[in-house]
Amino acid sequence: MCIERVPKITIVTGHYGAGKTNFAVNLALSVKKAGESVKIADLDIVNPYFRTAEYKSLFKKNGVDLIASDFAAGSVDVPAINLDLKGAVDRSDRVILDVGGDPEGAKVLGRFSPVIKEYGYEMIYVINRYRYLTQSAGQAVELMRLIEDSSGLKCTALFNNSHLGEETTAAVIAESKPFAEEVVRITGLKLIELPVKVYVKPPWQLTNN
Amino acid sequence: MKKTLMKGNEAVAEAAIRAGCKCYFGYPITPQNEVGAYMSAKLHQHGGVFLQAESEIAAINMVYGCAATGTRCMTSSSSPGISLKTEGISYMAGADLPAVILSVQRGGPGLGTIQPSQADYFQTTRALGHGDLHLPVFAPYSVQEMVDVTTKAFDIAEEYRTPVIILADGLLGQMMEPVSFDDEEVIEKPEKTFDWVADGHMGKRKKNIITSLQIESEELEQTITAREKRFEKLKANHTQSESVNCDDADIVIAAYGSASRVVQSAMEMAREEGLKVGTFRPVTISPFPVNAIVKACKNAKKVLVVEMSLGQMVDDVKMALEHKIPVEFYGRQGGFVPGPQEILDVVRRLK
Repeated sequence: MCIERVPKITIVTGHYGAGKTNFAVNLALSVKKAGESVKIADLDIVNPYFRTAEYKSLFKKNGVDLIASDFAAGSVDVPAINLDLKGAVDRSDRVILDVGGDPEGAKVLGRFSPVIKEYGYEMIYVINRYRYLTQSAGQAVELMRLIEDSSGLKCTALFNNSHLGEETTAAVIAESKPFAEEVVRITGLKLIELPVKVYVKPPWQLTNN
Repeated sequence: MKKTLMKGNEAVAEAAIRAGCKCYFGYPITPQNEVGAYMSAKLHQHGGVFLQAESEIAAINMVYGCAATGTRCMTSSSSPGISLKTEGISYMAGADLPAVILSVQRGGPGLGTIQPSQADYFQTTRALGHGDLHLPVFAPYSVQEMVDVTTKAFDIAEEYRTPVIILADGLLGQMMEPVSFDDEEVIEKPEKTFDWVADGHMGKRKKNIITSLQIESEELEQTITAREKRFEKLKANHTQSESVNCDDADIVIAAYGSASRVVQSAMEMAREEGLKVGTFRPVTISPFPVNAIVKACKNAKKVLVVEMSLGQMVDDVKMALEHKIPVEFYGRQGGFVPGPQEILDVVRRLK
């Protein structure tokens, strides 16, 4: 058995609305483009809408395997996660886990932590300085610590996804730089760079093709 | 003004706190749980009380009791939960009690689906409880407008002594948009005093009795007509709507809430093709903006109503236009939100 240098499991977490899911979708597509086989699992047990599982056709077209819970089918109040993580990791180069964006949502990781620790992981914390509850670096770090505590795992990298939805401009993004640098300074974590396209949109912005 | 990215549900809760809401009573149901979660985290910081009741019925009756003391209060729920609250809402209307009730629609009937829907238009505008009553209903279409109508709803509730309903849907509750508030921070306002409240007279004034029970027909009729007079005044002062590109429009598309967002995109696509299409959007669905829709449709050859239901508001549109213009309907059910292209296709067929 060879030793993996890049961890096989990538966990994407962050506050709801930080743009976690959009980042996870972009990450999955970029990994696939780089020639690796990739599975993406929707482990969000809290948020009912705007989820990874809604991008089924996009993933299919691009050869990304989607693992979604019954909850993600979108019609039940109580989520059920039915995931053979070990099997999924054995059968692909990379597995991306899109996890619910608060300490409650991150609890789901506890169940998988033996497998996650066995295979090694990176946990990317997505930050957005325009989102309520994470508008200062201090708040963003506080929420990160809570997510770490409830998941029993440690964040290993940051992604600055600061945006204001439809009102995002270059200036809006540029203004978030000092915030992101402050989070880096406090946590000592590295900032990941990945150009992102906006896939997560409300229905009125979606064209049928 | 500083902008914050918020979910519709969170924004309503924040706006309510800023409007001086001191008590929230509720019972969880998807897709509006962020309201209760936000209130439980924040309301106490502003001297308020969050209470998770044992049921929706308990929650609305707590609102009744709280409102009777003249304290600003609210509850929120989604379709099946709102059905449970209707008895309490009727009693509140009968006792002239002010409060704000947020209804975040999901697909029904029954437990249905947690996906967004507009199937509760009839319930909200026609029969939010038994009896002769008209309640004001706001139907916002964006997270910012959810903030704006929440602020307004608390004032109107007190001014007209009535429960005020905010009718949203799962999409508006869950989606995130930038919002701004009038002030940077929450500004604590002095609580208002009213002469009708039941908050302990301490032997210093005559006692007030809050009840919806009025056995004598003369008395009940007087109360109902006086209440309706207040609603007529509310109609004159607060009926609200928005029309876009209607002056030269051959086709006017009418929609409210989430559906009106899709309609707006479809209208823009139609205009690009050279089709003369305008949009009409009621902000208050009760009172329905009758005069405004008549005006918006004055040059229209056809009117299309789009709803995420089998068609409910379409009846109000037909009544307002007195069948003088053909009114067509397009809807999706079961939690589906129609896409702009889908509506454009319908518009093309109407031509």
